[in-house]
Amino acid sequence: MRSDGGTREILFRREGERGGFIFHPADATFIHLDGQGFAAAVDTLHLGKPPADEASQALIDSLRAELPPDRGLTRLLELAAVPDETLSHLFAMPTLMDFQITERCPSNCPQCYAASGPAGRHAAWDDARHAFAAMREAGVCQVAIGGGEPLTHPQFPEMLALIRDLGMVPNVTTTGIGMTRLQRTALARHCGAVALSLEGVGERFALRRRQGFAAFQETVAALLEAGINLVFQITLSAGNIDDLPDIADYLTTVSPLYGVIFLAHKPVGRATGYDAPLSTLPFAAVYRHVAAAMERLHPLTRVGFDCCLTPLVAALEADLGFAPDTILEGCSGARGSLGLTPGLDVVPCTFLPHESLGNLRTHSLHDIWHGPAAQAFRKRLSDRERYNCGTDCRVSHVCLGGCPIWDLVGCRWREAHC
Amino acid sequence: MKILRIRRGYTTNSSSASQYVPPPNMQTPAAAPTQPAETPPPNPAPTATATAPVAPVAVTAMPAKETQPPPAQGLSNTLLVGGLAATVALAFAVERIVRMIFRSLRKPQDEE
Repeated sequence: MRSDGGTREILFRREGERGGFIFHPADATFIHLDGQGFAAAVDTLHLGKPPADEASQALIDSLRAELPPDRGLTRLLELAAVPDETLSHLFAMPTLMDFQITERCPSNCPQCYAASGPAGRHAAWDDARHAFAAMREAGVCQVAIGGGEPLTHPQFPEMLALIRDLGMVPNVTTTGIGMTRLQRTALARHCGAVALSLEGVGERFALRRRQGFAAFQETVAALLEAGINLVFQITLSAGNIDDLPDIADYLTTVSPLYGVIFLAHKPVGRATGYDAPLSTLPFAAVYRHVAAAMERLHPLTRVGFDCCLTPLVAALEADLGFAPDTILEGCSGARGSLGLTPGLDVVPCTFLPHESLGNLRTHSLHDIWHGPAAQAFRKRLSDRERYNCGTDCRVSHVCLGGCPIWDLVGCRWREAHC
Repeated sequence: MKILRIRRGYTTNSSSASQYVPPPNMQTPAAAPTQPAETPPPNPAPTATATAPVAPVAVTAMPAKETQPPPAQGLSNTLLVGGLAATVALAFAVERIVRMIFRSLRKPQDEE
């Protein structure tokens, strides 16, 4: 870390010469560079040297055009070869952590994957501070805060401020139930984006979410009024895929809308048995709805996809004309991101609370990331691609065949060949 | 020396970390340089037993396992099939016309 004329740039050195990326908190901008490009960026942006040649100058000019004028929070993270790995896309350390800061929630919704309720435990404040420091040291850039209902945590505003102070971006998933003025102010001041979950509209919403649709709309209005970047997370299941046209209709009425993310229903927590994954339906039936929603929403806002949905996104990519490899990446669990439980168990993602890779109270994030449990999980990812995907599938090396734990969504290739 | 990829967007959920599709007016030109023209880094296919170091940026150099026929090829195939179908149809039509001409020529002779 160094200060230079009001510019604070932080460099994470890693072994190897494998390029790296520049992160800026403004709109969570990631710029991936090859080895030579990263070296040039370090020389000029971090060490203050003039560009060595015309090519370096051109690259630096391009970077400056892509980065906000205020480069004070720019971070340069070098990527390294990770020995004994089996997968092609792997960060040397996680860049995103999904921290379940509480299991408490007043709602007790019937489909909650976290099985949260009014008696759920909170992460201890000391544990949370320790975790945030460990994330920062490891190179995490964004922290996705979830629960339970994060607003029930007594130190919620302080957590958001601490994450920002450490140079990371907090993002929050909430129901908005019980949101105080102080909490809303903290969300607006510190968060990159705030997500609300939506699996239906009107009475269909109320079947799954206890607060009811009217209260949900009030939350939407309150967050927008505070100037918060609003994201809707749409969990798709066999039971609500036919509601997607109505959901898309509703989303077109919300403005401004930062983004929409489609997630796959997973049979975990109370969601087990409440509904069924998309894989129980013919692929074509699912695809028709998602492609139609994508065509409606894509011109209006950013559309994201849960990495469990990669087999579906692969078909969208081919049909809607996205450039190959620009949006499609397989499961990020233990490859680019990790989950963290209230008790500081590190997990591949928060949908797998019992797949502990280690505990942050006793091990460093670095050791957990490179430890045997994380390696074993990556091998499951690799095996999934190796044994479930056809050798003639053009995208299996990035799709990885979907979630390595459950069959959550069909696949056009499998449907045609199996 | 190049930018391999640019991605923007806050991530609210770790499982949605990987895909984020900006609307068309927010697409960056970053996709263009994703196919390095020179000396791509080693890029082993994922296998369960591979032990070679792996480059996180290898995605940009991953060769397609199978190349799709270019759109122009698809178009010419369509034209070829269409042309053949038209030729066959034309041959049938010519045959009918010739038969009609012969019949009309034969009728006056029969009447005689």
